[in-house]
Amino acid sequence: MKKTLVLCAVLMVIMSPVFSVEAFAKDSITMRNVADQKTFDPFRTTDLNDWKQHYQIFDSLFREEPDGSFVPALCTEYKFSEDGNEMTFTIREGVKFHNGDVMTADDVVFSLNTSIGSPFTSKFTSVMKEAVKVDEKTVKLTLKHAYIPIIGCLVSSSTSIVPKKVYEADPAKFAQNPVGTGPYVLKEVKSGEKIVMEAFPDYFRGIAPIKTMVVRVIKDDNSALMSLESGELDMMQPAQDYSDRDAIMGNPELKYYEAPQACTFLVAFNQKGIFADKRLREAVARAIDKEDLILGAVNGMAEPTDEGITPLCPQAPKDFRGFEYNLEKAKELMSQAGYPNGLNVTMRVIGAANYTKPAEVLQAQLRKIGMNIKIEPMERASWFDLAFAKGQFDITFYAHAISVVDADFCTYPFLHSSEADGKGNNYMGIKNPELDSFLEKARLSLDEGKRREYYLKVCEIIRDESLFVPCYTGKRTMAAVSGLKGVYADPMMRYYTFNYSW
Amino acid sequence: MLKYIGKRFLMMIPVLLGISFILFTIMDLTPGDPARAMLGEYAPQQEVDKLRDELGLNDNFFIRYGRYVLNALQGDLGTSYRTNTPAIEEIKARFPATLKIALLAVLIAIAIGIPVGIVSAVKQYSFTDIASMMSALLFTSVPPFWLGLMMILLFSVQLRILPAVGSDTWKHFLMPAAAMAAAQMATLIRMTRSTMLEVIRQDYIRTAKSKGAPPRRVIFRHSLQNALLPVVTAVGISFSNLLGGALIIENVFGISGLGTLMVDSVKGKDSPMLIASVMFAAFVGGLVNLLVDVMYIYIDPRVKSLYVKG
Repeated sequence: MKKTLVLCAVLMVIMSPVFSVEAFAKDSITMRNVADQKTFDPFRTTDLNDWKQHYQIFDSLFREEPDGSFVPALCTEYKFSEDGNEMTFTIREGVKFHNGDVMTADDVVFSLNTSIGSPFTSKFTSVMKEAVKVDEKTVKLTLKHAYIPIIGCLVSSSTSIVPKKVYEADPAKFAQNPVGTGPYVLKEVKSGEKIVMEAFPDYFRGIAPIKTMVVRVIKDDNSALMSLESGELDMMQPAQDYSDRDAIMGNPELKYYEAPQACTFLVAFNQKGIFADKRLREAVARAIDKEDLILGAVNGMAEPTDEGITPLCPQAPKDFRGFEYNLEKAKELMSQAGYPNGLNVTMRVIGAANYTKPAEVLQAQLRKIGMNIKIEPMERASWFDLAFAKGQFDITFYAHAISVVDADFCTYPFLHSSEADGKGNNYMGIKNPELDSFLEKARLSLDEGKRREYYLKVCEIIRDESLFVPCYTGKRTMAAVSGLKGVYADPMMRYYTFNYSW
Repeated sequence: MLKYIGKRFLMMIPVLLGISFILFTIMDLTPGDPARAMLGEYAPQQEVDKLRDELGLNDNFFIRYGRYVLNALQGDLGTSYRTNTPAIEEIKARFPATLKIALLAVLIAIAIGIPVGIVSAVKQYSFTDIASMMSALLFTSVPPFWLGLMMILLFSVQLRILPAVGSDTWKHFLMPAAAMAAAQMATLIRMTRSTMLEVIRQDYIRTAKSKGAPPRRVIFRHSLQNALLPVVTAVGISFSNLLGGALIIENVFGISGLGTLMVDSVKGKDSPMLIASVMFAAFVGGLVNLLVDVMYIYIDPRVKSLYVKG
C-alpha cells in the first residue's frame, strides 16, 4: 500500500508540469490549422491554409480592417490615373524586413512583378500588366483595364512584398525560410505538426501584443475541440458542418464567432450533357426546397439565396427572387423535356460532409419529380480533375467561394465563355453571349450604379436560363477562449493576429 | 549467418520494386492531376499543361516508371509535388514520431501482455484468467481512435494531466502509444496464454516439477522460454503494423508521422512522396522481420542448429 502511494506521488509530480509554459503565458497563443503548410512562398500557393500564416509574416500594399474596409499598409498614399488604367503608390518609409533591411521601391516592384508572372496568383493579378519604379519612393502599377476591385487584389497575401535580394538569391530556400515585413517572424517549423512564430520587434506598426504564436496542425475536429476545451488551444477553426457549435457556445470559457460566408453553395449543371436542355435545369430549380435543404445539410446554419451573386458582394441585388418551389411545374417540365417516366443522372461531389450531406437531401427532393440521382463522392483532387477541369459530370453540388468581395470575382471567371473549355473556372461550360456582354460591361465600368444594374441583369439571366441553382450561403466561424481579444470570424478567413491581445 | 542476412536483404529488392510498381500504377490510374494539385484547384489549364510537361507527366507510363526506378537506384526517391522538398527529407522529419509511438506501444504491449498471459495460463479458469481474457476481448474490439478520443477526454479535458495534441515531449506520446498498444496487448495476452498452456502440459515440465524445481524456475526457465517463439513473431508483426498503421492515431493526436504523410500524399496526388514513404515503411517492416528471425536463433537452439555447423 505504502509503495503504491509513493508511486502515485511520484507520478503526480512527473505529470504536473504537463502543459508547457506557452499554453498559460498570456503573451502567446496557440491556434489550429486544419492542414499542413505547403510553402511560405506567397507567390507559389493557392491554398487558403498557407495564406493564414502568410498574413502574419508578410504585408501587402493594403490590408483589411476588422470591419472589412481596406486601408494602406506598405503604401501611404495612392492615386488612380484619370482613365483608371494606372495606380501610383507612395511607399511607406522606414519599413524593415525581418533581416533588418529597409524596404525599397525595388522590392515593391520586384514583388508585384513576380506575383504578376506567377500562375499561382493569377486570380488576383490577371488584370495587372506591370509594375515600374518611378523614383525611390514611388511605384506605378499599370493595369490591362480600369478595375474597381483592384485594391481588394492588393490586399491579398498573393501580392505580398518580399525582399528582392533574398528572394532572388534562392526562391526555394525562401519558401522554407521566409523574410517579410509582417508582424511575425518564422522561428520553427515541425513539418505537418506545428509552426512557431515570434513577434517582430521592428514591425512598422509596433511590436504585436502577442509575442509567440504557435500554429498546430490538427486535422481531427473532435481532437481540436477537446484541445480547445482543455486549454491547449486558444483559438481554432471549428468544424465546417457546425457540429461543435453547441458544445463551444455552451462552454462559458469559450466564445463562438460567426460571420456571413463569402461563398454560395449551388447546384451546377454540365451545359454540354443531358442538362443542355434548359427545361431540365429549370425542373431542378423548381423542385428544390431550400429551407429543407439547409435544415438537412447544415442543421439550419445557413441563409437561403436566390441570387446568382454571393449576397455579401455590394453589387448583389437585394430582394431578388428566384423561381418558386413548384413540384407540379417541375414534373411538367420533366415531361416536356421527354422524361415523363423519370430520368437517371449521376451527381459527382467532393467526398466531404459539406457536399455529401446536401447531395443526399437533393437526391430525396429530386426523386419527387422522377429525377433519380446517383451520388458519386470522390477525393477533392479527383473531383477537380474530372468534374472541374475535364467537365466529366452531369450535375454537381459545389461551394463557389470568392477571395475579393466584388461581384466581378464572383461571376466573370465562373460564367464568362472565355473561361470555359478548360481555359478558366467556367467548369459548367456556360456560353451565353448576352451574359458575356453584361459581365464585360460590369467589369470595365467605373460607375458602381451602372455595375449594379448590369449585375441585376446577370442574376436575371442566371435565373431565367437556370444556368445553375444558387441554394444557400453559410457562415464562417471561429472559436476562441473568452480572454482572447480582437478575434472575429472573417468571411474570407483572412486573419491578422497583430490585432489579438489578452 | 551473415550469408543468410545478406540473402534476406537481397530479397527485399524485388519486394520494394513490386511495391513501387503497384503504387505507381494505382496513382496513374486513379483520377486527379498532380500538376493541378500543385498549382491549385483554380489554376488555368494552360499553366497546368505547362507544368505537366516540365514534370514529364505527359510521357509514356513505362518511361516515367523507368526514370523513377533509375533515380531511386541512385538514392533519389524524388521530390514531393506538394511541398517541393526531397521525399527522403520529409520521411526523415516524420519517421521519428511514428517510430517513438510504435516502440512505446510495443513496450507497453509486452510489459502488460506477456505477464498477464503467463498469469492467465498458470491460473487457468481462475477469476484472474477470466478477467484478463475479458479485458483482452474488450481491447481487441475497441477501435484505437475511439480509445484515443476517450483518453483525451479523461486525461486532457477532465484531469488535465496529459497534453492532447502534438509530439513536443515524451508525455505527448503516452496516450497515442497506449491507444495503439491496446489491441496488440490483447493479442499478446491471448497468445502467451495459449502457448504457455500448451507448454506446461509437456512431459519435460512435469519432469521438472517432479524433480522439485521451484515453480518460478519451472515457469520462467522451462515454460516461458519455449513458449516465447510464437510470441516473438507476434511482437514483430505488431511492430511492423504499428509502424505503418499509426495513421488514425496520428490524426487524433495531431502528430505528424509517416501515416499522415502517406494519406496527405494520396489526397494530393503526390506520387513520389507516397511511393517513397510506403517503400520506406516496407523496408523497415522487412528489417523488423529479419530481426525477429535472427532473434529466433538465440531463443530456440533448434533453429540455431540450422545455421551453425557442427
